[in-house]
Formats: sequence, structure tokens, C-alpha cells
Amino acid sequence: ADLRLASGFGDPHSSSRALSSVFADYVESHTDHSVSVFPNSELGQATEMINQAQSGINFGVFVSSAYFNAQVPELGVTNLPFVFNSRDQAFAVLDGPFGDGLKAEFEENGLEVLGFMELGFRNLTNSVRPIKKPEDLAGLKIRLQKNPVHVATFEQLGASTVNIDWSETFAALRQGVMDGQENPYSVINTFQLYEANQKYLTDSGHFYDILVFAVSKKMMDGFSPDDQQAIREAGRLATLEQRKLAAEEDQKNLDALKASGMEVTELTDEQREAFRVATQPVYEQIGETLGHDTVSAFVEAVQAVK
Amino acid sequence: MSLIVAVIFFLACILGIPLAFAFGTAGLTGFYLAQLPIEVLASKMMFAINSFPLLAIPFFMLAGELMVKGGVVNLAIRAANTLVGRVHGGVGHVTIASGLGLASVSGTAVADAAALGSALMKPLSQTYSRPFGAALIAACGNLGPILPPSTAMIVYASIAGPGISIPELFLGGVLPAVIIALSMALYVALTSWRRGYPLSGDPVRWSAIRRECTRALPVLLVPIVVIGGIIGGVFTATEGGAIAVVMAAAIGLFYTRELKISDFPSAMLNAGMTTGVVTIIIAAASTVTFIFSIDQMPNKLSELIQSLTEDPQTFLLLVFGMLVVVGMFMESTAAYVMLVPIFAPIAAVYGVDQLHFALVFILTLIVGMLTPPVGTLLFVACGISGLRVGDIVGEVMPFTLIQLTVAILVIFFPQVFLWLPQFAN
Amino acid sequence: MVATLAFIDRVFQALITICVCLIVVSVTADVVARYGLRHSLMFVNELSRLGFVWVTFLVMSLAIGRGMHVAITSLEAKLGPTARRMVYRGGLIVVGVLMGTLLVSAVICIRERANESMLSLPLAVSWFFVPVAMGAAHSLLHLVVGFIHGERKERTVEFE
Ligand code: NA
Ligand code: NA
Repeated sequence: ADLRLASGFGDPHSSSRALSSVFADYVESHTDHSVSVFPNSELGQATEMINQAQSGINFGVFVSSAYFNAQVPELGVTNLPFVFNSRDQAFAVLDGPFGDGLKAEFEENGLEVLGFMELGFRNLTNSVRPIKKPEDLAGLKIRLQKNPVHVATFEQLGASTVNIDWSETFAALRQGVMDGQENPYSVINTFQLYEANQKYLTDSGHFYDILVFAVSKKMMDGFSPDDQQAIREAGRLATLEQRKLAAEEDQKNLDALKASGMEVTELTDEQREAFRVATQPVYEQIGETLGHDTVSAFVEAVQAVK
Repeated sequence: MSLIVAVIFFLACILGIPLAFAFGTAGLTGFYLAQLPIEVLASKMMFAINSFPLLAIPFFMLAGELMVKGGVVNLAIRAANTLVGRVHGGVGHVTIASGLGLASVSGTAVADAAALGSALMKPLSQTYSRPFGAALIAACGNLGPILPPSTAMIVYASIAGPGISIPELFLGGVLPAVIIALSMALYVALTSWRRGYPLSGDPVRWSAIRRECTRALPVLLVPIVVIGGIIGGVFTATEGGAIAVVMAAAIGLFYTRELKISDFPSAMLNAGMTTGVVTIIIAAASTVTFIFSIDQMPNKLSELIQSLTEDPQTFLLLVFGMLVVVGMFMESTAAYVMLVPIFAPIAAVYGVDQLHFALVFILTLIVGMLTPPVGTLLFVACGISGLRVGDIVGEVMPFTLIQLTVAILVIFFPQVFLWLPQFAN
Repeated sequence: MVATLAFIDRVFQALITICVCLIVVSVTADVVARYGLRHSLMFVNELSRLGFVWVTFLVMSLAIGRGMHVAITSLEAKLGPTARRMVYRGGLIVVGVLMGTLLVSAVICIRERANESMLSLPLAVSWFFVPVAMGAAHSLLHLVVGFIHGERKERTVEFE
């Protein structure tokens, strides 16, 4: 069969590249299946692509973990502010027992996770002033994703939160509907947000975003054990490749943003600690919706690999 | 597979199956051929319209409804009459001027044509012939989506993604709308003089001009606030639609006082109905788009076109020719859903500016509302005048040519037409 | 049958009116809140999209009864009365198959999404698919009535 993998990322994104090279090559040389990667939301919007994989309309989907909120709400803990110090720490947690727990949740919703990939640390841009301490955010209108953890964090930091559709965000930033937004370097650079008045960039890394590569359990169950094994191995290899590419790209994108003339603020350890302390109440708040046990189990898992 | 799906779509259309269901039937056949689970049908159709930018459609429809019921149209027409009523073809110029005024507050062609027709069909058929009047009303309706605000542009931007901004598109529509309006006025004057239609309208009097224009002035607030707010960044285009509704309601309730609270439910229902028949086409068309996508049609088509020409302008002319044909048979919104995802990336390969491509694309497709067999504005004009499509097609033709000519001008003189949009930044 | 149909029509009309009202009020309220309270209403995006989906699929069925869907009728106009009825009824059967499939499809989606909750509203994602099923089912009723009638309805634009 032709295994369709759907995504909202573009062709050049590390995930699209790793899957259309490493994953496709491995699957096509070890099984009779072919692989087609459909980037740029060609097959639908994110929520829809997830449903498509659940129902077996398409084989797989690779999108930000944020979109799996309806299926696996527990993923929300990985969005907690200032929780990971480095990408290696994040990978260790996701590849360990905590990640296995999440994978079981996905299975119950008809999805098999073939890999947790990196979307990246999210960083803050704005048009008003350099952000060095939490107080600098006071009164700034920041565009956020429709994610309760994100919103709670920025409200805690004193910003006004704006929820505007991504399709309207560039124009709205350009026209000053809001002052700033937050995204990984790759997004900021790809969409040239510096052309939308975003003069100031802080390497806040306030959230670490995960990209989930999940496939249809329904379709997997229909394949032979050998094919299943080959597909899982292909997923593992592609995930490793993607993480490598993503790390390289992150640096490249940051360099490009500096070259574009953005004023980049690099936080010192003390400055970062001030943000971490200021957002601690969010851990409490999120515990109330996702369960305090879930949150503390996660925090322990993170500290265990420190 | 794509070919079978396309053939089924055309067969279904010819047999009189409504466009939306012709898309659905073709898509369903594709799903069957691709052996997809049955959930795909409801899922595809629901998600295709589960999109915030598309909300602009009901908003501008409702704003239009409220302005008609609130007597705003009559204000515009009376003001236009004092200004241009006494020229050769007077009432024709009044129609064009009112059409421009209406277009600056409304986002859709159908609402505009219906509003113009309700007030001007009678005087037009007394001065001119009934077919000429109906044709003029249909053509003036088309100014609605060209002059901002424009739901067509919002739909285009929502499909094309973040690379293209609605304010830029809006400003890009201003010059073409003005050129089209002036050319139509010239044509109306010539025809009126050649066919010996009598002079109409009151003699020009400053007192009348001052009185009527002052009375119509508050209506001007709507485009200033709505378009100004969108371009100035106070709110997004979709939200601007909601603001337009609130302002139209306020003007009708407190200024003209012709609008009653009891008018609201029926206005909302009407807006909902006219919206629904458009959006269900978008929903159903997405099933066919999905089949084309999994069949890799965009890539195949892209390769085919690139093998035909390397010149960007020839490419634009090719797209223009194709859209004229597509516009004859297809509701424009459905055409955006199906064709923008295919052709916008190809345009990028040719190095055509995104905004330039969008303007050519939108202007050409809008003309399709005036061309048979599927011409939404022709249907509206027939409804208003009681004529059949065949009776007015001949009179509509010159207006169609004027609008197509402007689209061609945009192809060849991007620097002229992209000058205004740069001020959106 | 016709009385039941008219009753459901009125219920759908009321729902459409309420949804349009809801969309306008919620989006306006969001703009006001953003400037007045310096705080976006997070639920507005999802709520207004939900209302919009409801409008679209409820209208789908009502518009069948009113002949509001855009169709190419030039071939039909050239046919004799008997052939015209046959072509028209054949078309209705095709649309009926489509609507039947859509109904089944929507019901499966409702069941599959019943345990997934929306992001900002305390509702199951299924509610996005409920109007699809309702619209498809009601369309089937309208198609049956149209089939018995056997003639294409003139486009009616006004409502009470
Ligand atoms: Na307009
Ligand atoms: Na047409």
C-alpha cells in the first residue's frame, strides 16, 4: 500500500526531510509498501490529520504535540514553562518510562507513536522592548496558541494574551493588533516575522515543543509482523535523524534571525531563574486540571535525568 | 482516479445535480476507488469549513441584509442621484455610483446586486430596456467583492496561508474597482447616447447635493471604521465583519430608524441561508480536492505547465484563460478551494509575486459570476427582472469584457496595481 | 409527512438564526474584551466555528426544499416533460445515496469523537459532527418529498 504521512510543516522542515528520506527509504527497501509525505496541510488541518490517522484514512501524521490535546491530555505537562534545561534532557524523559506511559494513551486512541521528534524551544519576539525580566512583559499583548498552559504562563508573567488564528497572525503583527508572539526559531525565521515589526527576540526557551510522529493502529494491525517491525525501525531511525537535523537548524535559524537585524537578548542563568520562579504557580494550576499526581510524576521524571 | 472523479463531476453537473452535491458525488466515488474508510466523507466536509476566517462570509452577508432593511441603500442612491443623475444615461450612472458606495460597505456581490435591484430595477427599465438594466445591476454587483471589504479576498487569503495578508489584498482591489466603475460609466454613457435613451434625473442643484450627501455621510463611517480598522490593525478581517454587522445595526436602528428589532431574526436567517449554500459547496469541493491531492495532481499539473512555458507572464495568461473557463462552470468559492492550493505554489516557482497572482486570480474568478451557465449574478438579475438568462446574456457581455480587460491589465502592469497595497505595511 | 417536514424546517430555521446570532455576538464580544478588558476570550474561536459548522449543514437540507442550491439546468430545460422528470428523479437518487453515506459517516464520526473533548469548551468533539448527521438525515426527507413531487422547485429566496 501507499503509506500517506500528513503534516502541516513544509518540505524543508527537518521532520518532512527525515521522513521522506530515512523513513521512506527504509520502509521501501524492507517492505512492499511505498511512502508519500504530504506536507503543507495538503491533506487537511492538524486536528483533521490526526483523526485521519485514527480512522485509517491516512497512515500517519506528524504535528505538534499541542494538537493531541483531545486524545492525550496528559501531554499537556510537557508544555509546562521552563521545565527542560536542554533538548537531551527532554529526549531522555520522552524515551524513558514517562514517554512509554504517554504511548499507551495514544494506543487507546488508535494511534501508535513511532517517535517523539523535536519542534523546538519556543522563544519570544515583540515590537516594543527587549525582554530581560518578567516585569518587561507587563502590558504587552502577546499572541499565543490556544493552549491553556501557554495562556496561564503568560498571564502569570503579566502579559495580555491574544488568541488569533495563525493564518491571521502575520498580518495582525504587522498592523500592531498585538505586540508580540512566541515560536521556535524555525517558525520565526520561515515566516520572516522580523518583517512584521518583531524587532526584539529573547532566547527565552520558555516552552519546549514536541512533535509527535504517530501512525494508524488500525492500519498497522493489518500489516505482517515483519512489516510492522520494519516500519517501527524506520520510525526510530527517522526520529534520530530528525532530532539531529532540528538541532542544526535551530542554530542556523537563530543565526539567520541575528543576520536579519533582530535585536537578540540572551538570558543569563539568573535571569532565566527569575522567569522560572515567576511561573511556578502555573504548575499548581495545571495540576488542578491534569491531576497533581501527573504533574509531580512528570517533574520527578525530569529531575531524575538531570 | 482523478480523471474518473472529474468526469463524474461534470456528468453530475450537466444532469442538473446541484454543484455542491456534484462535488460530493465525485468525491465519494474517489473515496470508494481509493478504498478509504467511510468516515472520510463527514470528516472532510466538516473540517473544510471549520475555519475561523470563513466566518467573514456570514458577517458581511448579515451586514448587507441589515443595510438593505435599514434603508441605507436608499440614502446612497439619493446621494448618487444628486451627483450624477443628470448626465447621459443618468440612472445608469446612479446605479454604478451606488454600486461603488454599497461595495465599500459590503463584502459580497449577491447582496449588492439584490439591494441595487430592489431599488433601481424599475427606473432602469423605464429609461433603458429591461435586459440592459438587469445586466447593469449584475455587473455593478460584481464591484462588491472587488472593492474592499471583500469576502472573496478573505477566503483566498484563508486558503493561501500566512504568506498573503488581507489588508494588502484589500488595497489591491481599490484601483481595479475604480477603473471598472469608470469604464462601465463610459460604456453606459456611449450606449445611452447611441441608442437615444432620454435624459433622466433632476437638474444638478448644490442645495440638493449638500442635503443628500450630508444625510448619507454617517453611512461612510462604516467603510472608514471597518476597512480602516482592518488595515490599521485594530482588528482582523473576520472581526471587521462582526464590527460591520454592529455598525449596520446601529445605523438602521438609530439613524435611519427604518430597522426594527423584529427585523433581526429574519435578517440573521437570511444571512445564514445565503452563507450556507456557499459554504456547503466549499465543504463538498474539499472532498474532490482531497482525491486530487492524494493522487499527486498538484505535482503532475505543475510539471505539465512548466513544460509548456518558462515565462511568468505567459503562465499568468494561461491561468487567466483557464480561470475564465472554470468561472463559467463553477461557483467562485469552490474554485478557490480547489485551485489555489494547486496554482499558488506553481506561481511561486515562476517567481510571480504572491499578491500579484492573488489579484489576477480573484479578479478573473469574480468575472465568472457574470458568465453562463453558472453565473450567480445572472441568476440574481433574472430573479429581480423576471427575465431568463438567455435574455440578458447579450447585454452582460460588454460588462464582462470590461472586467476581463482590467484583469489582463493587472497581468501586464503589476507595478501599477501593486503600488497601493504596499501602504498596508 | 409534509407537516412533519415543515415542523423540522422551522426548528432548523430557529437553530440557524440562533447560531448566526451567537457567532456575531461572540466575535464582537472578543474584540470588545480585547480592548476593554485587555484579555482575549479563549473560547470564542472554537465556539464561533462550532456555530458556523451548524449553520452550514442545517442549511444544506433546508436549501434542498427551497431549490436554493446552485445547479446547471440548461440541459434539463431542453428536455421533454417525461425525460425531464426522469433526469430530475435520477439526480435525486444520486444525491440520496450521497446523503445516506454522509449520515452513516457522520454517525461513525460522532461515536469516534465522543471521548475527545474540545480545547476551550466543556463539550465532546462529537458536537461538530452532530449537525452533519442532522443535515444529512433531514436532506433525505426533503429528497423523498422532491422525488414524489417530481419537478424541480423554483428558487425561493424569502423566508418568514
Ligand atoms: Na466590498
Ligand atoms: Na460563470
